[in-house]
Order: sequence, then structure tokens, then C-alpha cells
Amino acid sequence: MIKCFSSISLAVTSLAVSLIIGACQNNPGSTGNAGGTGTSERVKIVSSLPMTGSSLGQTQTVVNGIKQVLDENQSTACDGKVKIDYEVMDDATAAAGKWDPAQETANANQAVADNAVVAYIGTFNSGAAKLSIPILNQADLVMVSPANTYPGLTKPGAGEGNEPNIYYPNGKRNYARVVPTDILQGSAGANWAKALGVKKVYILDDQELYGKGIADIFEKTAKENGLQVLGHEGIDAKASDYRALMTKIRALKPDLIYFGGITQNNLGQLIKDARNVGMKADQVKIMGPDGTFEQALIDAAGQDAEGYYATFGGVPGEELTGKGKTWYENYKKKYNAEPEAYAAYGYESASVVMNAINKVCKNDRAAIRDAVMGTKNFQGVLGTWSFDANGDTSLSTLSGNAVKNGKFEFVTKLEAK
Amino acid sequence: MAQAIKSRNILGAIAALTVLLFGGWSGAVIGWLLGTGAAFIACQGKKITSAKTGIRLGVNAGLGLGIWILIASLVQGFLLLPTTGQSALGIIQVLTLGGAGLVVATLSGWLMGAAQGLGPRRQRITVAFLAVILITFPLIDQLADTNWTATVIQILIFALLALGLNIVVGYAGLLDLGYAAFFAIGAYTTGFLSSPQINLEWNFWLVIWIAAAVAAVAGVILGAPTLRLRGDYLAIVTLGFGEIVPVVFRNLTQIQIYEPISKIFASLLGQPKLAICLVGCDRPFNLTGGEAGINPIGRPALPLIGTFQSGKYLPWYYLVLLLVVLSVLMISRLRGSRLGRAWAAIREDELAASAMGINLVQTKLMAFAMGAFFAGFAGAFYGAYISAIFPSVFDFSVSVIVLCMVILGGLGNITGVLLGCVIIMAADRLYLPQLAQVLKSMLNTSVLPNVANPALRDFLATSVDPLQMRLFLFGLTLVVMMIVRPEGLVPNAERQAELQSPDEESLAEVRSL
Amino acid sequence: MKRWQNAIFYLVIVYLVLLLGPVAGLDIPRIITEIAQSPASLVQQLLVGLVNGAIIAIIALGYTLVYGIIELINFAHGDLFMLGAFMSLTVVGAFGIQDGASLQASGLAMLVSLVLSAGVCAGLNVLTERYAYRPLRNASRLAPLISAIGVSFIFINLGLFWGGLRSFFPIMGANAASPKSFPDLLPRIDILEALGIESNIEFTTKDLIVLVVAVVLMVGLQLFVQYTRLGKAMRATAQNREAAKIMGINVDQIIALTFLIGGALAGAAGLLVGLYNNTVVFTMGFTAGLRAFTAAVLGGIGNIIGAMLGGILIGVLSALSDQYLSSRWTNAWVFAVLVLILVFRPGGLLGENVQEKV
Repeated sequence: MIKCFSSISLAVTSLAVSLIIGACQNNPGSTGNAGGTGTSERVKIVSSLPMTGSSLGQTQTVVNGIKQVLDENQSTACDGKVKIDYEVMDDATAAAGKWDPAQETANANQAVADNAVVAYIGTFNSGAAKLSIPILNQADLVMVSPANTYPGLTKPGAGEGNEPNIYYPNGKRNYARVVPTDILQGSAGANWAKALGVKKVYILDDQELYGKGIADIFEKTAKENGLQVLGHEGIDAKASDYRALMTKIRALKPDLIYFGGITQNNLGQLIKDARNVGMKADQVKIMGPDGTFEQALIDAAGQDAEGYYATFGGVPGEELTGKGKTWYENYKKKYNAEPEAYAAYGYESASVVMNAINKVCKNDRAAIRDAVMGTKNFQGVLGTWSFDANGDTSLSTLSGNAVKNGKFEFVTKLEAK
Repeated sequence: MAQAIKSRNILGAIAALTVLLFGGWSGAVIGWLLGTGAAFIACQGKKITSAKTGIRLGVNAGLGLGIWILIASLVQGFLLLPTTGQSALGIIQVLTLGGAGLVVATLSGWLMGAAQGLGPRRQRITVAFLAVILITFPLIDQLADTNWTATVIQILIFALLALGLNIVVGYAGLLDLGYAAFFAIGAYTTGFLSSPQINLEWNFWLVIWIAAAVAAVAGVILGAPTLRLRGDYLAIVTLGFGEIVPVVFRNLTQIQIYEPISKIFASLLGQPKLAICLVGCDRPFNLTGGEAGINPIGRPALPLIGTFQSGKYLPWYYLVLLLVVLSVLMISRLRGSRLGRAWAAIREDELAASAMGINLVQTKLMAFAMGAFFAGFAGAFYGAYISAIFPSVFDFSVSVIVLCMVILGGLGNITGVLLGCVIIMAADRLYLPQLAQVLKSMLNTSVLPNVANPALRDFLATSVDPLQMRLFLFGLTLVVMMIVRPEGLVPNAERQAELQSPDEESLAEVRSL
Repeated sequence: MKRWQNAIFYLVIVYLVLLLGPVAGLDIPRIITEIAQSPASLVQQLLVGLVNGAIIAIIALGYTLVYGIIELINFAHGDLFMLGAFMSLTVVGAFGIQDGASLQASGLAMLVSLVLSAGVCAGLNVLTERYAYRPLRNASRLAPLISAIGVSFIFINLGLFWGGLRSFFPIMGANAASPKSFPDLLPRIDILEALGIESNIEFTTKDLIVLVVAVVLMVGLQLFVQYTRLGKAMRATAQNREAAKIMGINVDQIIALTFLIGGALAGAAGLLVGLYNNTVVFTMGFTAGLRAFTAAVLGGIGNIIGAMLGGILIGVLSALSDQYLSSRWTNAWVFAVLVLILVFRPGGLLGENVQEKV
């Protein structure tokens, strides 16, 4: 008797609950957008970047760039017919303080599950992209990255054996990036080093996918260019100082220290310690990739940043003309700060997406994906460029910049090969 | 009685917060979960003679919770949505959502209350209820469109870790600050055995056991040097291991091993070719993939379901749920066993325990091994679930967070540890990000446009960014919870007895006289 | 027979080290050649390690002091130190002092920031003790640990917030999370060069100042704890809280005093590290704290001289590892040596091996 009652009650709970919820589920538009504007269509862009922890410096400027695009268009497309929402997803967790694989996977899945989402801007870390690309790929959702530079994500033969095809299970490319890959940056840096008259170079990297990738390419090109590579070492990005390391490097008397990595991985300290142990700026140059091309580096290294060289996958803001010029001024006005490298990439990513939405004008993931991937002769803030078949930017003109009087200044245009 | 009201209000507040943050059908889901919980708590420690008394208590609790949900729904629908820049909901919709929450909460309370009135079968029924909730949860979650399953899977992974650490810290009393090392070892073992990295693609169902066993062996190996250490010296050595293991996995990318004697001779003779090469001769051998990690890792497959997919959560959910349930069963058996009692003895007094003939070495090593075993489980599942692993996932913060779960929940108590895990993970992965989002959009739509002073607006927009307050909120949660329940949420009965110092008790007795 | 067994055992170990060591950078023949080729680098790295170790030791003093009295690993101490560095940076910025300002001009700013950052950190630490640790004094030993971890998170976030106050303090730079440059105010004169000694070794006045400050702080603290009334009260409280209470010591006050001193030390360390490393970032407390805490344990936790010794050992080890092994393996080697030392001396270097009372 009692047993019977219990099993009935169990059945009733689950039944009742599922019935109630199931019944209500049939209500069209049950959540959120019921009271919307009626005729217009709502689509959503999400960005998935680590917004907690130490990468925040860069990711915040990416988000600024994306927001700027939306604000300039009043968050609408197709003459107001399509309203665009934007959600900032965080792929970092407070507890870990950096990007978390489970969180990135969850973000990608959440974006797939939300029918309004038509584009996914991210990720910051190439490792994270390896996880989300295949998930988004199966849902025909386009992903545009403002920061991934790992070549294997797109270029056949550049990475491990079965890359990049393992990332695209449905066979159609859905991933594009507005940043040039490590291959361009690293070799452009090495060419520039040679042009600067460097003979002996010591290479450091921050042991991350991005930094190590660029440093490896730099090393390869530098050797081809006939430079002497004194050593190549990964640093501990969390160390409180690098005096011992710099003392060791000083004894080898290099002309240039190349750092593959991002500012946030303690480059400011690294530069300061290089100068602290007595390597003068006129004797030992220091150079890095676009991950260090930002005001934050100058804030971090102070006076010791003078003479620091950085390559950048495009032409920097103040050198731009036309559209880029307007962007540069608007950004400065809006955020009260010099736009950073990543602000430009963030802006460019969102612009490409916006451009595609304007072409398609409806909530159609596959069409928007095709429109983004088919972007040709796009006039953006980085110059005029197209996506190639792999989803890589066709830009091959990079710029060399150096810190002068507390600001990055454009020095020269660089060609990668 | 006051305790019951307090816990009811806490549950009500949590439910209300959920509705405020997530909106939609989340009220109904949380009403279902917490309604059952509230009724259970209401009936705790009471003699319930008939189903009727139980129902009365349960409905009371459920109704109280439902009212919280209803009010929160109203606030959310009419006030909160407009201030965050979304359009307000219609009255019918709000009432449907809120009402559903109220009805579901009351109904769940009624059912749980009724079940509590079943006398001797009470415990078994409660477990059955829990089972039903756990099994139906992802289905309900899908229906209600709340999208919590992904987070729940993450919670369950950490539950495995917390259960394992509880053996080491809670049962045996050995403070371990490097527990993530075993998680890493489990995950990397899976990575090696089922990925193209070293061309082994074994079946997941076999690999998960190997991973757990390897982690357990690692527990013994790493535990051995710590046997003589006590207290915080032990903690720091385990912390050291926790730091070493990820560094090793990150750096084993260019292995080249020469036989040393031949190498020394070769260099003395000036003929480096004479050195005998053992590993990585043609080009350095890349074992762990460095920071890029191992990717992809093979996924489990089952006859009817096929290979598990990343976006389809159901199979993953049931798999990890099964692992957790298995672990709970194993660990609760362990606790009462001879070994479990030996652990308790060395925790209380090592010297006395060894005098009583307990083999300290064996007992401590078993604690490390068993603890690591479950971390190996978690690591194997994690590797397969993400289908990739990276060394940076396994650093000190993971060890610390898992330790927080164990202590917050109640050292040595399985229910407590699970509860601590749910609370910390839900706060970290579910509530705080959502809270930050809601606050952020509120700031953007309702506060910023009304601030005239540009300097102040710049300050508010850049500095008072709720998205950047997560760590603060998380820290505050930890501190407040600790102060509210210093002995943990569900303290271990023995431990509680220890904490009550005898003189205070006798004082109380004197006063009561 | 036994002796043979031992010899074979050690030979096997040596062989294994030679075989596997190179994988982790420990290539002994190469290291020996390098040292023989340039003994000056060895001396130089020892000096670098010594100064770095002194900095670690100053932070470690705070850990050891608090641990000594209430047996709490104060996880928040490292982050308190970070806030001290931010306070110093703010003050220096408010004085409008730039890189390379003269010592006279910056002297006042340094003094004010020393007082303010020591004061603010001391105050914060006392408040933390009052509201986050004191309520837990009678709970299980691990409860305050979680509270301390929570406080540490709060402090880190405060540092992030502080770093974003560019509207008020321009020195914070454009971006909240970015590292900030701390003006280089200490004179950087190569002492050996100034004395007219030709060498490849660089040891500047900056290094000397850090060493002197560390020694002064350590000796001062040791004297305070050993010989003053309050110091004696602290030791009494540490030994037996109940007995101290009976002897008329206000235990709550003494514990608060300990946190006050610990906080002031963290603030002073913040200024010193700012001046020495010239970079301030909100995440700096975590790593520094981990190292410092390790140093405190290595030296024998609760022991002031031990903390100093532990700090210097860790500093020297990492410098040597950076030079001769590989900087990416440094962390692993530092902790490996730590484990080895604790295995052979379970109470730390200077900690007494307390016999268990029965």
C-alpha cells in the first residue's frame, strides 16, 4: 500500500512538472522577446573572451571595439529592419582567473542553442578556438576571431597532421580571423630585425600558443636571414622579476631580444629588468609582436619602453586614411584613450559581421556565415583586405612601430616574405 | 524552529535571486528543486506520524518558497527587465511564469512532505526522490529552456574532485594543497591513451579505469615522501607537487635522452657522435604538446547512442552522474570500513593510533591513493568531455577551490561536501556571471544616461564594471559563508562534538541550573 | 654488505639523474663546463639571488608572524602586499614624481608613501582580522583558511578596481588590468665600478638598499619579539592562549597587534618592491605570496630568521636555475628542492623538531 503510494507520488511529481512546463513551452516566444518591436527581426552577436583575470586588459579593448561598431549603427542593420543585440560572454572563471576549457565549450554550446545568435566573435586564445570552432561549425554559426594567430586553425599543413580539417566536421569553413597569423608576424619581425642591422638575437617567449608560435617562426626566419640565434627560452609569465634571466642574457651580448607573447605576460617587467641589469637601449633592442603593440606596454614599462619595437598586422590608427581615420578619432573621443591593437581587431571583427548581416538581412546562420567567409575587398580600419579560402585575412602588409616619447610611432611598412 | 525559518528564508532568497537573474521558466525549475529541498528540511528532525502531518509541513515550506518566487517573478517581469534595457513582459505572461513557480514549488513540497510521512521507509523514499530529480533534471532543464545542464556537468566533475579530496583532508586529516596534480595526471593519462599524440587510441571505457589507477599510483608515489611531515609542512609539500606537475606536463615537449656514460666519453674524446641516443634521436620527442595540450582526445561511445557529441549534454550528464553516484557509494562504504576507521584514528591522534597498532605508512598512503583515484576519474572524464587538455587548467587555483568546497560543505561529510561543491560552482559559473551581466546592463540603460557629469560617467563606465567585480563577489561569498557556518554547511557529527569545548558545555549546564 | 647496497643505491640515483636530468635542464657536465668557463656569472647570479631572496623574505616575515601566533596561513597577505604597492604608486603619482627624479625630490614622496601604505595595510589587516578571522577563532583549524582565501580574492579585485581609477590617478595608465610602471627613484650606481674595481659583476646601490632594509626589518622584528613587553605577550599568546589570558594578557588585542605589524610590513614591502622591480600589477600578490609562504615554511614557520633564510635560499635557487638550467623549469626545481629539504628536515631549516607530547 505504502509502496504503491510512493511510486505514484514519484510518477506524479515528474509528470506534473513536465506537463506544466511542457504545456507552457508551446507558447510561442515564451521568454524575453514577446513584447518586442513587432515588425523588426532581432539577431544577436556574442563575444566569448576571458573577461576575468589578467587578459582583461586586451579583451576589454576588443569589447570596446565591438561596441563601437554597434553604437555607430545604433545596434541595427538593414536600415533599421534588423535589431542587433550584443552579449559579452566570459570564457574565464573567477576561480581560475583565466580562460577555462569547460567554460569556452559551454559558451559555444549556449550560442548554438540560442536561435537569435548569428555570429560568434572570439576567442582570445587559440587553444580556446580549437574547442569552439567544431561546435559552432556543426551549427553553421560563423566565428570571427580578433586575436587567434595559431596557423593550424586554418592553414592546411601549417599545424599538426590532421589540422585544420578536424576543426570543421561538416566540411564547410565557418571560421575567419582578422589578425594575420604567426607566420606573417614572426617572419616580418625577423626581416625587420635584419633591416635594423641586428646580428645576434636572443629569443624569449611566454610559453603560450600565440607567443611560442610567433617566437618559433621568428627563430626560423632569423636563421634563414643569417642572424645568429643565441638562445630561445620560455619564461615564467608569473615571475615577479627576470633579473637572473636578463643577467644571463647580458653575458651573451645580443643586439636584440625578441619576445614572443603578450604584454600581459609580464613584458613590462622583462623590459625593465633588461635595462635594470645594464643592457642599454642603444646597445640591445627589444622587439615583440602585435600582442605587445599597445599603450599598456608603455604604461607598464614607463621610460624603459623608449625604443621598443613592435610589429602589427595592419597600419596603426594615426597612419590611416579615410574610414580608418574616422574610426581612430571616434574611438579616442568615445573611450578617452588611444585605441590599441586589439581595439582595431575587435572593431574589424564586428564590422565584418555587421557587413554580412547587412547583406543577408535576416536571421539565417548559414547565409551570414557564407557572407562573412566571402568577404572581399573589405575597407576596414586595417586597410582594404579580403578573406581567403581558409578564412585568413589577405593583408600582408604589416607595420613596424617603435616607442618614441612615450607613444608608439609608425616607423616602416613590412612585408612578410 | 528558528533554524527552520532561517533555512526557509535562505532557500527563498536563493530562489528569488534565481528568478531575478535568469527570468523565464527558471522560477518553475528552481521551485521544483528547492521546493523538494525545503519540504525535506522542514520535516528534518521531526516525528512525522502520518502522511498528513508531512504534507502540512511540506506544503507550508513549498508555499513559502513559491511566494518568494511569485514576488520575484513580478519584480523581474515588471521592474527589472525595463531597467536592464529589455521590454517588460505582459501581465499574463508574468502571472503564468510566477504562478507556475508557485504551483510547482507547493506541489513538490506536498509530495516530499507526503513521502516524509511514510514512517520507516522515509529514508529510502527520500533517496528515490533525489534519484528522480537527478535523472529528470536535464529533461526538465531542456523543456524550461534554462540551459543549466552544461554547468551542472561541470559541477559534477568538481564533485568527483571534492569527494576525493574529502578522503584525504576530511577523513585522514592530511591537508593537501596540490590535489589538482592528480586531476592533471588522470586527464593526461587519458590524453596519452586515447589521442593521436602517441598513436594510442584506446577505448574510453578502459582508459578511464587506467587513468584512475595511474592517478592512485601517483598518489602513493607523491605521498611517500610526505609521511614524516605534519600539518602545514605536509600542506606545503603537496603544494609543491601541485606546482611541479603542471610544469612538467607543459615542458615535456622536446625530449631527447642520451645514455650519460657514453655521452661523457664522447664529449671527452671530442666525438659527439659516439653518444648513444635512447629517445627522440631524429627529432626531439613531443610527449605532452606543451601549452597547446593534447587535442583531440577520443570520446566515449555506446551502442545505442553512438559517440558522445560535445553539444548533446544528455549522455555526458548521465555518465558523470553515474560516476558521482558510484563514488559516493564507494566512499560511504569506505568510511565505515576498517580503513575508514583507521583514517579517523590517525586524524584524531596519530601517536595514539600507531600505539593501537595502526600501520601509519599504509593508512596514510591508502588515503592519498584513494583520494587520487577519484581525481583520476574526474580527470579522465574531463579530458574526454572537453576532448582536449591544457596544462594551465590544473594550477593551484583548482586545488584551492576544491579545498574550499570540502571545508565549506563540512569536512568529512559526503552530503556536506557535495553541497559545498554545488554552492561554490553554481556561484562561480552560474550566478555571478549572470549577476554581473544583469548589473552591467542595468548600469548601461538606467544609470549611465542619467549621469550628466562626463568625468563621473567615464568613471562609472570604466571602473565600476560589474563584469570586473566577479572575484570580489566570489571572495565575499566565501567569507560570508564561512562566518555564517564556521563548522561547514553540514558538519560531521563527530567533528561537531570535538569543536564544542567541554568547559563551555559545563558552563552552560551551570547556567541552566 | 650493507655498505655495498648503499653504494649501489646512490650510484643508481646518480646515473638516473644524469640520464633524465637533461630533459628538465639539469645537464650536469654542461653546467660544470659553464661554471668553469665563467665563474663571474656564478657570483653575479648569487648576488641577484640574494637580493631577490631578501625581497621574498620581507614578505615572508608577515606570513611567519601571523602563523606564529594563530597558526593561520594568511593567504591574503600576498595580496595585501600588492595593495601596499598600489598605495605607494598612488602617493608617488600624486606627488607628480617621474622616472629619474633626484633623491631629494623623491625622498619626501617615498617617506609619505611608506607611512601611508604601511598605515593603510596595517589598518586593512586589522579590519580583516576583526571581521573575517576572529569570528572563526574557535571553529575548525581550516575554516579561517577559507576565509583568508576569500579575503585574498577580495583584495585582488580591489587592486583591479584601484588600477582602473585613471580618472583620479593618471599614473594608473589607460587600462585597469595592465601592469603599471613604478617610477625608478632609488639611485642605481654600480658600487664596484664606483670603487674603481674592474669586474663583470654588477651590484648597485639599489640592491644594497634592499638588502639593508631587509636586514634592518628582520633584526628589528626579532628584537621586538624577543625583548619588548608586547613582544613577550605575543610569544606568550602564541605558546598558550589560555594561559596567556590567565596571566592578564589581552589576547584579542595582542592578536590584533600582530596583524597590525604584519600589515605594516606588507605595506613597507609593497613600497620596496615597487621601488625595486618598478612594476605594479594587481596579480603580483599571488605569486609573491606563494613564494614568500614557501620561504616561511622552508625556514621553519613561525621563525623570523628562518623566514629570511628560506627567502634567500629560494631567491638563490631560482637565480641559479635561470642561469644554468632553464627558466621554464625554474618553478619545478624550486619546489623540488623544497620537497627534498622538507623530507629530510620535516620542521623546516630552523624549525625545532617538536617531539609529540603524549
